[in-house]
Amino acid sequence: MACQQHKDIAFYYWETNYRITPFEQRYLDSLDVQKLYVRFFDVMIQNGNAVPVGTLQVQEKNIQHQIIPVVFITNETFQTLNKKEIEKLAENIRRKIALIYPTITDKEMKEIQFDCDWTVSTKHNYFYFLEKMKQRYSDGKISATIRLHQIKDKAQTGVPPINTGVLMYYATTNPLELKKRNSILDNAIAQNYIQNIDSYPLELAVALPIYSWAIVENPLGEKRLINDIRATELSDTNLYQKLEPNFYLVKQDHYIKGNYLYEDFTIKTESITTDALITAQKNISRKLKNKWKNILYFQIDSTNLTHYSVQDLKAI
Amino acid sequence: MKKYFLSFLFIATQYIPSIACAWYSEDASYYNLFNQEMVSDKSLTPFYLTYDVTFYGDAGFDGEGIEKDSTDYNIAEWKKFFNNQVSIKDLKYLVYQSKAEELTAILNKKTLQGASLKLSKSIYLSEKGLEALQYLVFAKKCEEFANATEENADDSWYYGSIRKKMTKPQFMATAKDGNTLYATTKDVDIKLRIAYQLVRLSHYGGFNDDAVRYFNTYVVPLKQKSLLYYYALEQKAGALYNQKKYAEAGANFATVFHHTMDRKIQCYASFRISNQMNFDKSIALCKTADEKAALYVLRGFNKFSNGLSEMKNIYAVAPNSAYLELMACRTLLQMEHTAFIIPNEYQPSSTFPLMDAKGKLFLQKVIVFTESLVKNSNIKRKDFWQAYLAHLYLLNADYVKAKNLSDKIQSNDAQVKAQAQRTSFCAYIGSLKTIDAVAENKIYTHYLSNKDEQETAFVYEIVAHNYKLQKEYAKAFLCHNDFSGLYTSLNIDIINSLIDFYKKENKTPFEKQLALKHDKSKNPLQELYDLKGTYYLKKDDLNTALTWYKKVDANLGFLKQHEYTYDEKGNENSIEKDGMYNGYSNIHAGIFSCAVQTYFDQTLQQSFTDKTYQSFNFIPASMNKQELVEVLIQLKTIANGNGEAAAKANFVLGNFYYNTSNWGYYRNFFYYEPDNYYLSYLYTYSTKPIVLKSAYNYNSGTGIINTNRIQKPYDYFLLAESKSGDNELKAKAVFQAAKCELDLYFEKCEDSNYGACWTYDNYKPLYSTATRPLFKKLKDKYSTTSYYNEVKTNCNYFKYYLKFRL
Repeated sequence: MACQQHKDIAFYYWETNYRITPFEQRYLDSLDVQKLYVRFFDVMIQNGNAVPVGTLQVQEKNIQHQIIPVVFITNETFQTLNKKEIEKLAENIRRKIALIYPTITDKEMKEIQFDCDWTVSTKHNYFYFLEKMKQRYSDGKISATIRLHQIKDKAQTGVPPINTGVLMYYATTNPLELKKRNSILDNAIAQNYIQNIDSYPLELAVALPIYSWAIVENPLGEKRLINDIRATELSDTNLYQKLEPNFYLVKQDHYIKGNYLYEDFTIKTESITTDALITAQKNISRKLKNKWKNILYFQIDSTNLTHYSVQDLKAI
Repeated sequence: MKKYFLSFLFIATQYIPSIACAWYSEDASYYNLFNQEMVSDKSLTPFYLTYDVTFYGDAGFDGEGIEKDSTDYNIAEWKKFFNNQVSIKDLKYLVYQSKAEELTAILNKKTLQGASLKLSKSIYLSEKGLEALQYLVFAKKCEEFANATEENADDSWYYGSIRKKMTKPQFMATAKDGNTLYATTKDVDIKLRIAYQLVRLSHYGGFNDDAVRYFNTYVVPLKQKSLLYYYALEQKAGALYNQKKYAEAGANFATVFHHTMDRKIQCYASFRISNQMNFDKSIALCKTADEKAALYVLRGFNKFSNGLSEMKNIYAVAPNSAYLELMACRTLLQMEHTAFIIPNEYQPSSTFPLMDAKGKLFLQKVIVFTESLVKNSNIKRKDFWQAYLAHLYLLNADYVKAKNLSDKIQSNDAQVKAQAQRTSFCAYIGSLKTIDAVAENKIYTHYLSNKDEQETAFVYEIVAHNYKLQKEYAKAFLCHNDFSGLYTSLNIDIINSLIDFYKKENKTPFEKQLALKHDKSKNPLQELYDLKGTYYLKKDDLNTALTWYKKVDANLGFLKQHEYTYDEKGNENSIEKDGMYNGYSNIHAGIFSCAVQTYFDQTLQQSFTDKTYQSFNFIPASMNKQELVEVLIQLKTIANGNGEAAAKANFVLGNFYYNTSNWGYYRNFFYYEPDNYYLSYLYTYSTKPIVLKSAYNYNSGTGIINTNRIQKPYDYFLLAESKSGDNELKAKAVFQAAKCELDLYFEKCEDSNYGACWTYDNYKPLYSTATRPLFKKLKDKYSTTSYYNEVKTNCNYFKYYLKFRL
């Protein structure tokens, strides 16, 4: 490991209420984190208009880190809007970010990130939007998330006109298919997506998953996701019968994390081990060599962090 | 407040294919055969099961909802208050539209003089009338803090309506007015209204302690359990929720839910309990069994819930409540949504009802529960529950039990009776192993008077399936199609079966009805002979094709082309075009011609500039299919020989096969489409047939057998080149073969690895030597021909080929 290049570590903050707990703060300090990518709001279509939802509620100011506002925009937004409306959206987003930003930090804004699962049919509109945002932030940097399929199919989905991209090295399959493999990150699948990543014409950072969830299915095959649930929380044998690794049957009606689960529901838990994160790091390094400098973890919250030591995260 | 995890979830949903296009209806994706309108409390209508909208009856994509209860219960209270002396219309003016100044003028002068006609009611001058007016002046003051406004204090980007903010001094001043008014008012109803305003004002202002205090000290002592009491209780529940007293809030919401007609949806939307302790506490706080039952409904309304579990909970406290019926209906419909999903090409199914082992196990549990419920002598609505149980048996494919039980049901309730009959008939159909004449007769008689569309569609689904199993393809097919259902596939088993069926004499009444499915033509057999002939033509079996076409009347025509024009107002007029391909005749001789570039929207004259076919005088300018096949047979004979005539015959045959391939001008020919565009679902480069996987019946059509046989024209063109001594013809043949070459290349891509052969950013393979060796041949051998120059001018790929020399 002698020549392993040092990587800067950053985190996504994806909750609606912004407040860093002392526990989280210790991680940020120990890992020498300089940047926090904070989701400011989502944009989606309601009644034909692009509207912001889930706006960040800032509970305390951050005096330490560089805050990078992140805005998630649904792909449907770019399926719906025309050019003129996209220009208006760019202006609305600029103004809204400008209102929230001073409430969370006094530092100068250096970067804004957009998160959109764009497709072939929306690439023109989305890229046009990014151009418009670039015009508005000519001093700063515009970055965007890039999903695995967008790396693999770059010829079809195009390369966004931005300064840097963040490869979302997760969400490898659809969790609602409820297959045995891990839908958050299956390294074998992810590796296939990045066969030609070395030719991707953007500077990339890599986002790795440290979140967990449960995929719950009712007896009639309907499924829901519940965030922040791990296998270790389902050890009560009065409530759960373990069917196989990560699969459980609910034996009694009960609440878990605010959700009411009924008898006969099945649960699949998904989380990512440190080993899987290391494998991911190795696979990416093999392809990208030393071209990537930053790791972003999705996402910081105390529940996620308790499952990874500072040393684990440093080792990746 | 609910946390927003929208974007987090979107990460996960990127792989889910979107079928939620504008007109897709989940509610229409399954057979709903159990009538949830049987629930005995009609005020629960919004809580019936629906997948398309949040609340049953809301307007969906089509903009149409069901007629809602339009009663204004608040105004109804006012009407009672004024002893029915004031009309609803005038009350609405008084309460919602009048200005405070108008009311103050009356109050000051104690006379109606000068008041608008709508307010000139003598009862307003009575003691309680004046108190009412005084109250309304106060209420209008509170109104500005209560009504949502669309102003946005933070930024100008619209994000829904937000309530006007109230400062502490504003609240104190307004509340003080209310306190005084409350103290001086004598009428109990008006006092209650003032108290309600104060609870609401406090709650909306964020003064939750005041809201609860006002409720306890102003509302409760009045001992009025009228509508306004529950309105006030709802406000108090909101305040309790804000105080994080979730259990108390939950119990209060359940109470309001149960006792009001017009606040149920709001109570559901506000209700949120997220742990067992609070829920248990909430249940304990509910005063009556019905309120407890309502609480279980509030929790179980979510479609993800386990309805049976909540049914058991409700049964334990209120076995005769409408809430139990509601949860039961929702549960049953959710099972129908799975089991009676309408078989379609994306949902291949060979069984119906369709349920996996988990679903079946769940159904068994619901059956066991309902069986014991039906036996309970304390249950009052036996008929409803028997109908429910019978329908569960139907879902369980236990047809004998379903039929026996539904036939036994005695009821005075028309809906229950109709339900029992429906379940019984569906069970009868489900139980049939074969559809014989007896069954046909029963179905025919049953539907002489019964016009139930859902049931009919369900029954035909099963009947068609059984016919298919019985190899009675014609009847299976006619359950859902007319002959146009064969156009994309020309399925010979069905065609043969249809010929036998239409020839059959002494059809049963049911068969006669099926035969009428294809009512476009007076002579269905003629159309079937054409279809059979075309099946063989598509297979290139010309002699067999000819024998069937010979049975067809030369004037047969069944497809119509229309021309659309629009007048100034944008109204569409369609005119039938004469002389166009009509399914059998009016086939232009251009089918044997070609051009350098052909566009689908060109006229025949523009598309077919090549006149080589005119050397064969046996090709008429316009043909029917019999004549076409006769021409093809002659051409093939000539083509087998040698010399210039053979070369030309090969060339025009190449044109015919190219034109009728998926990318030729006559690509509609084998699909019976009147014209050649807007048919992207048919025209692929692929040669693979689209076979509907384990289709349950022919409700989704008969699949697509495509006609993209591009190798054939390619071979004919190259034979023409080799047999000809004329460089111009050779050049034409090579260039036309080069078109096929590209299609063959696409075909290879599509059938093997879509997208790998070319990309949006890289068109090079489309004109490189590796892909287009015939371009090279054209250049190397025929560059001196005039046709070569025409190609050089008109074909862009060839231009690029010459320019880039890849």
